[in-house]
Amino acid sequence: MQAKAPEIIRILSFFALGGLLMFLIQPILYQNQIFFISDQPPEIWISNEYIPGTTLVFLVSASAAIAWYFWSARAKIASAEQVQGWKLMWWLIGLFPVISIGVAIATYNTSPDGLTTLAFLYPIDVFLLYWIPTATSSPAPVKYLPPLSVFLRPLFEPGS
Amino acid sequence: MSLYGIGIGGTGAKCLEAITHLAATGVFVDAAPSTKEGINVLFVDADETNGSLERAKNSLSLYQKTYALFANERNSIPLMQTGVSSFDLWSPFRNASTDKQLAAFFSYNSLKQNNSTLGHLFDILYTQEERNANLDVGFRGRPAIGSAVMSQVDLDRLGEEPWRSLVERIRVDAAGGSTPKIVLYGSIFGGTGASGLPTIGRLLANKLKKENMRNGVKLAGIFLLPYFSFTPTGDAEQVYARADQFMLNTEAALRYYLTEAQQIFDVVYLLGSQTLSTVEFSVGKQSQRNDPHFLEVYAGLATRHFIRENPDQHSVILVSREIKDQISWADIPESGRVKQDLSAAVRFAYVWLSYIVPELAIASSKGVNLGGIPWFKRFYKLDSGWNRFASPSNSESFGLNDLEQQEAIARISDWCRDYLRWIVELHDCQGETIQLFDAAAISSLSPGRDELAMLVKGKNVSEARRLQETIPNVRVNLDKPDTSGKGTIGLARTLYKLCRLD
Repeated sequence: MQAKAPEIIRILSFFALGGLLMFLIQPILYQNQIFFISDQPPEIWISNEYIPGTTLVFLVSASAAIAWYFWSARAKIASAEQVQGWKLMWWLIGLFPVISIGVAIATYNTSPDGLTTLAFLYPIDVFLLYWIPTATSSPAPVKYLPPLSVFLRPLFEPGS
Repeated sequence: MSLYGIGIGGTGAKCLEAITHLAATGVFVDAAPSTKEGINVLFVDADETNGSLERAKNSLSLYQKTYALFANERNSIPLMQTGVSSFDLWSPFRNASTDKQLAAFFSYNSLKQNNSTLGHLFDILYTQEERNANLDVGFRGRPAIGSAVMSQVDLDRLGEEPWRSLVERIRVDAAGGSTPKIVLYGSIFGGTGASGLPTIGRLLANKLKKENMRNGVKLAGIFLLPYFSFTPTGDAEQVYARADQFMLNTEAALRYYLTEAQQIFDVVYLLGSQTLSTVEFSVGKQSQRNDPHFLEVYAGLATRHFIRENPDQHSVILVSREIKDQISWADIPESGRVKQDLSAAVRFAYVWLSYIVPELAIASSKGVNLGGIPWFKRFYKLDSGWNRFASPSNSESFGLNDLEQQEAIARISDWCRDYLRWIVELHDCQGETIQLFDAAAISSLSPGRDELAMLVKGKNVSEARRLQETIPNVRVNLDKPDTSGKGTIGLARTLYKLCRLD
């Protein structure tokens, strides 16, 4: 299996973007009360509840994307039929980030306000850390397997 | 420079079949590169329904239809680059209004009445069974019968096609400054070939001499010595070819060439095998359908040698093999080039039939799933559902279900099947071990067999190379931006380039 540099760079770029969003921009939104936390000081909620939960979601989502990339790079697909198994694999791996959202919210968050906003923000984060990287940068044998990849991939890889 | 191949009898037809397949794979590309020139073939056989002849004509027809598809793609790949046109079939009985019996052909009854001396001579030369045998199955392995019939051929009567057109085309080629090359193929131990080769060779040489063209034309004979044998079945008719007389026939024929016919041909190639392959007995017609034999491939390669090397009339060139009863790539003349061409075509045909065609069939009937066939949009239009938005260059592509594209897929598939059939049957040689390709793998066309490296025998393939030469890798590499055109032909060309690995 040969990892392609542009694909790796794109994946890492989305990780960086996701990290920026999750660890810089979203906390700023909470600090400035754009997303309202009313039952405790936002700074305390951010450091004690938001950061640990977000770290979990970030690590699981990024790991899932990396696992998908390196696992699917070994795929030896000799017919369209054989793709179905890999499609299922993509969804199964994608379950882990989804589960991490639930664990993060249930384990670390105690604020009802936080529950509402995190239930909205975490899926976007997972979309950015798992779905988009796999849709734009999956290895050649499965490049059009993730949903939306047929439309997204050409945006980042002209001529693909 | 044009090549004219005249295949005489069943063996001659099989040689032309081999020529056709070799031409398709590109073996003659550097020998006859121009599409204007190329190869012109003529079949000669009294048995117009001979099974080997029908198979050769079918292979030629399939190739011609596929060759036409690549008309706009000349010189990009060796595949389908050498045109093969046909003067069809000539039978010495074509204009005969009489029964196809030797006696009727020579008006035996009249001869006996009007010229008893000649009639008695006729009786001495031919038995009653031979005089009355029906010759629509060929000359029944009797050169004496064939020679008598063939000697009545009069090439001076230009009205007789296809000889008139053949000679005219040779004249035009010669007048254009090129040196036309004519090759006669046939066995010298059977009936039609043994009688036709010297007779037609002499008639043609005399005709060319009469037309002041002989010096500007090269004439070669590729003679096949005994290479197969059979056991007559219990219900065989009395007059039939006898395998036990093949060596005797051959000795007589070679003596004839030595004493009487050295001036006919500029070059003579003799091909034979110590091991006689066993074939099923048949008197003639469709049941006389012998499998392809590797000697016919050698006949094709001898043709290539004749075209390229222009051998001197007095040169003696020997070809032999390393191990008795075995043929490997080391035994093939110019094996590097020939192996490359034949192997690339085998891989191409294998992948086309086992992978491309099934995927396109599913795409045609159930719609395209780009996740499954990512390369699809490089060659065909995505014109249904959300896929329409997936490719900016859609408008330049062809629709998979367009009649023209479906026709192209069918023609290429037919050619692939016929080519692989020929390759597999070549390996099914009784008494010989052919170590060129993995015939079992080729004939199975198993999708699980995705290691293309293993289709070609005799090369030590590294593990890394073996893992690279697979259908999954072809699937990925078909989806590269630098494809060789759109539509089915673009797909075929791109696939061929991927399959030309050496």
